[in-house]
Amino acid sequence: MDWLKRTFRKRKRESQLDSELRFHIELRTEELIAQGFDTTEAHRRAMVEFGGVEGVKEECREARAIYWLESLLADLRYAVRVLRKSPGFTIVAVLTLALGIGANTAIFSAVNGILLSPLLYPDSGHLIEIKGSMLMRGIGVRFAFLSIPDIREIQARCPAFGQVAMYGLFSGTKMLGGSFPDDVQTPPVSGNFFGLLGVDPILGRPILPSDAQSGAGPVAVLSYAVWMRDFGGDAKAIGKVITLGKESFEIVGVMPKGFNPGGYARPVWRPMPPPSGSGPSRKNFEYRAIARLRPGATLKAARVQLKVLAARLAKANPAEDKGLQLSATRMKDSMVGTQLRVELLLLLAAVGIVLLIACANVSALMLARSWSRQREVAIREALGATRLRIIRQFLIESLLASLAGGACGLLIAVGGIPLLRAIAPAGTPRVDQVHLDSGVLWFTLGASVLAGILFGLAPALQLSVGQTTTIRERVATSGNALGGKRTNRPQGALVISEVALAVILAAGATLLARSLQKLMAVPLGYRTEGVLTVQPDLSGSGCDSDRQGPCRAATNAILQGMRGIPGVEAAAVASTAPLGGGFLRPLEVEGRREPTKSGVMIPYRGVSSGYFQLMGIPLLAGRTFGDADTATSQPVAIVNRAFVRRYLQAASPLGRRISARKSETGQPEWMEIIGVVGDSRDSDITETPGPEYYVPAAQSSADVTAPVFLVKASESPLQILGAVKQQIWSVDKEAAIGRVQTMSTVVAREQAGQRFRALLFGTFAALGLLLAIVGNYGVISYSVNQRIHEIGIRMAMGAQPADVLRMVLRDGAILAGVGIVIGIGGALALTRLMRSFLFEISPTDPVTFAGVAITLALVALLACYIPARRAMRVDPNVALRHE
Amino acid sequence: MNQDKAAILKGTLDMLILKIVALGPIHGYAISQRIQQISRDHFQLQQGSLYPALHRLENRDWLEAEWRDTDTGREAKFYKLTKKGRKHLETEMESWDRTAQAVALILRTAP
Repeated sequence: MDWLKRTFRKRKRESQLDSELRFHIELRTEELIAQGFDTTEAHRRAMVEFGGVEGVKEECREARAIYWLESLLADLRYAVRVLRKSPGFTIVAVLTLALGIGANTAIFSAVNGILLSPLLYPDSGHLIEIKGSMLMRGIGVRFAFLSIPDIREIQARCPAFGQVAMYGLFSGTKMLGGSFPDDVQTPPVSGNFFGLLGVDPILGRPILPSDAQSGAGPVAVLSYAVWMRDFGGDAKAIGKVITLGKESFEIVGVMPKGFNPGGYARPVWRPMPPPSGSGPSRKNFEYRAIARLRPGATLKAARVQLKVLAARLAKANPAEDKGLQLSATRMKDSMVGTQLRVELLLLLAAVGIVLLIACANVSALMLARSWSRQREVAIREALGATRLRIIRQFLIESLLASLAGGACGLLIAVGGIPLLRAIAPAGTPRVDQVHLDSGVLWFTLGASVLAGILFGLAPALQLSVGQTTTIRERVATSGNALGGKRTNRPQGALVISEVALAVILAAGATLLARSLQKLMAVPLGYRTEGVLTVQPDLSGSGCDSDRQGPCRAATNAILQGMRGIPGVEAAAVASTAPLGGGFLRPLEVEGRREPTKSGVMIPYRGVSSGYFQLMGIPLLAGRTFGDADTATSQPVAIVNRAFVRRYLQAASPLGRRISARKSETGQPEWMEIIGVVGDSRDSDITETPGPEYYVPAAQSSADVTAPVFLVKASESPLQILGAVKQQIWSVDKEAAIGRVQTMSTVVAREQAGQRFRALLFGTFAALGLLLAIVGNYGVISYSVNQRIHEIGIRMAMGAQPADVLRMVLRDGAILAGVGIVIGIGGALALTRLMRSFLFEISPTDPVTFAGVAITLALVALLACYIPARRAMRVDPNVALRHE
Repeated sequence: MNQDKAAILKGTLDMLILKIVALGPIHGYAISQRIQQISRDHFQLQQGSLYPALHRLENRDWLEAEWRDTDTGREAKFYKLTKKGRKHLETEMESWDRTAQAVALILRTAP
């Protein structure tokens, strides 16, 4: 109908146009006939006078086209011409903006990929992770794992959840049946796990509810990573039988790339064992619970139901669930975590500041130019251009520049995003999601438009005001030397804000850089260079956690063999590698009463002879473990210095006894302290070492199926890796050697987060600083140019070059000084947001702030010095004629 | 520069049309007659070029049009000034004065 109406209206308009023009020509023809021409001649003349009828019609139709579009195009054409006429300005403006927008696009792509974009699961907004927390010894402990009965209760009693699925605590398991023995994680999952997440396998089928019932054949589903690594991405993997630990499983499916709930390195999923006997224990908190919200249910309702349920569970099962609290988080949020969220938002704020500085810079540039364009504006105004039209003209110019900047910025981001992904600390969740997508492109467009308005508005407003002065004045004085001084004020404000923003960035970056420096300089207490750690899984033929003898024998055989490899200086064994996690056990110190009956929780490590020497941990008193310390000899222990300071102050530590185990009769089994070693940061490099103790590997009850071998190589540790692997396989040809690292990379990884932050903040601060300096330089040198006339007069009147220098420098110093003071204030308020990212430095560290202030002041003065020197060399004769 | 000059001329034509229409409803041919009468010596108007201008002014709501019979009983399109058009005419005339002033000034002061 609409279409019909439109067509009809168009026809009518055409016929009216036709009759209007015909009327004109007929009337003219009649007039000419009346003047004495014959009909044909009169008509011919009338047509000639009128001009081409069809052309006129076309112009009439065009005249009816939308007016604003037409004038917009005119403004656009004009803007292109203006920008092309001053390529210097345009290039500087576009490049400045490209840097700002490019950096913002890159960081936003990280925010978008990690924080904003939905998980790859269908309808992932309704996926919830349920976690527990409990009060343990007065400290609230959060944990992701719950007991199976508790999860079943959640399914039964929380109507807000449609389905509740679980997946279990994994342990590193040896997988046989692939290309080589490998070390994989095998989280058991409930039958509805894959159905709830709703992701289809790329091959075969997922684990189904029927697989988790008793009597079902054992099946496994491979992750993409394992499929590629151990099966070469071969579709024939389906149907193969693999051994996980001691059991055999048939591979039934392969999940797509990126499917990895829980974020394991190399997961292989298997159905959780069917309930047996008395059913699962309430004591084992070994499963993570995920759920889907029922349509229409809210997270808030779910939380209320969980709270009620937790209270009920705590009451019904006081022994296991006392103090239990249940919390529900959207899966996406629980994956990313608060720390990373804050970090990304801080980074976004930092690049935002860079963009602001870039805008201020371009704005100052445009202002400087706009004074010389006053004449043009005055004339346009005189010719009837409205104020709005002139503002629009300037905004179109700035938008054009900012869109060009945005386009170049996009190129910078295209290069920067892979870089960002590459330097992101290992284990950053969802880093594979960081890429340019339509959301990022919209952000870039939005940032460009916003930037264009931001830096274009000030000059546009500045130019179009001043209506009070007459055109005569404005045409006459614009571009004149004496007219310039007062009008510098908005540019001054821009420079001040640029310097202030640069100070904030520089302060943040310096704090992070000094944190990194301190972190890298912190004495670890052990050697890292040349040390290789290899953790083979020896379980299998003869060795398992119940039969330790064969494991220990194999371990000793490997150790002896390793010591014989050329290029190996020393080799030792430990229950866990430094920084590789550890075990805590309640410990009792003889003759000391602990506030709780079970003693204090203290980390320990089982180590072989030669460990301390290899790791370079100094022996402070007593002796280290020797070959005489065997499983049957007197139980002994070595403590670190922090242990002595905390628990053994009173007398000599040597000969005192500690106990971590009780015999069947309830008597403590004592270990005698035979040595004291130095403290080492072997569980967390950012924390001051606490009390720790070591026991001989032979006496350790820690897991013996996967011992950590430490090898000190005389040259590059990776050169001997091949020989080390062969040595292990020569003893146990089914050993899975999944975990191989040099200690240097382990430590570097611990520092990676700090390094990443310091690097990015440092880059942005440097960028911001550079832009601020350019801005300061530009404004001062522009004002010098404007004041050439005045300077000439001063010099003609007897001012010395040094006076002129001082005068110009003072102007620059005032701007920079005010900017620095404001910036320090802002930084003091903002840096406390970064407290959790700083290491051994206060967010208001006075040395940092003083250093930043002095550096910025010096740099700003340097930026003024160049134009100041030019001013100093002004020749009064030339200057007075300069107009 | 050529384009700028054309723009000024176009603006001038618009102003002339508005001024003529301000006197009362009038059709296109009559407007062209009036312009010829008033400015015969100053510039020759291609009669056809009047109509795009009329349509443009109508599109910008400065003029409104109505079909009615002429004295000779023929139907013609009559143009009338709108309220908005009258206001625009006033500012145009004002700015014309300023333009004349400014142009004179530029001619005197520009290097």
